[in-house]
Amino acid sequence: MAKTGLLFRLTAKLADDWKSYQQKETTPEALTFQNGLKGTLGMYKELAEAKDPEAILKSEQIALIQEKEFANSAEMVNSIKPGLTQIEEARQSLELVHDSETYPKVTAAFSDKRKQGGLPLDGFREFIKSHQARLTNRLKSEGSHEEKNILRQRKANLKVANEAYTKLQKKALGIGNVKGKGITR
Amino acid sequence: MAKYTREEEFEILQKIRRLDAEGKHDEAYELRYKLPLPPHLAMALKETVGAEELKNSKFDLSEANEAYGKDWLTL
Repeated sequence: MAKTGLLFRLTAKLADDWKSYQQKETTPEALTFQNGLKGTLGMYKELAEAKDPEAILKSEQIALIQEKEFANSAEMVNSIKPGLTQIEEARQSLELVHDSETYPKVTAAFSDKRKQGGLPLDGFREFIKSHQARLTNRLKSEGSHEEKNILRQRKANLKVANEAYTKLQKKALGIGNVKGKGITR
Repeated sequence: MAKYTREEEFEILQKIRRLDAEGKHDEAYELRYKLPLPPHLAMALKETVGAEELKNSKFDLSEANEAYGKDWLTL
């Protein structure tokens, strides 16, 4: 037998939560917060225009540190901490990719599994890949339009960083600007 | 001790929003720099841009100094 009374009480409680949430969201403080996020989105767009993988990487490091501060569950912390470790690895790759002597030697032993489009999936590329997934997961959860727009823009920024980085990889590996999959000279 | 009360901080935030809405973004940033930088963000900047750059910035680091001790930027 369905516990109708229990379900009624649960629904009444959810309606109460909904109403009080709506009240909270229209307080001057909530509106000030949401309004401020539009400016934050503008800053992320500016970062994308700069097309600088190092700046984008650092912006994500700052954002992850802030998110760690917000985190209120072990699951969140367990997602953020590996992200911060990966950023350190990405930073090392970014240094290495500027060294066309060492970079080809370090990545020569990469198996095909650790390549994409013929280019090594090194620390930087791995970070981009898993951080994209992390942000996608956050897009699937609750949040305001403004918050989601920022997450979408951060994903777009990662794409920009990835494109700029693969150019650096090609340069380091002496791969020409040939269209198609990893055609080497 | 906090530099501004909750009410004072909220007033500053509202003023920042108004300035941004009027297109006075530089003035809005000047006000933002007056609000003490939350310690975790100060630490994030130390890790990303470095202690020297941060020391020479306009940020108010009073909350970070209180949270991490006054030598945190040189350690």
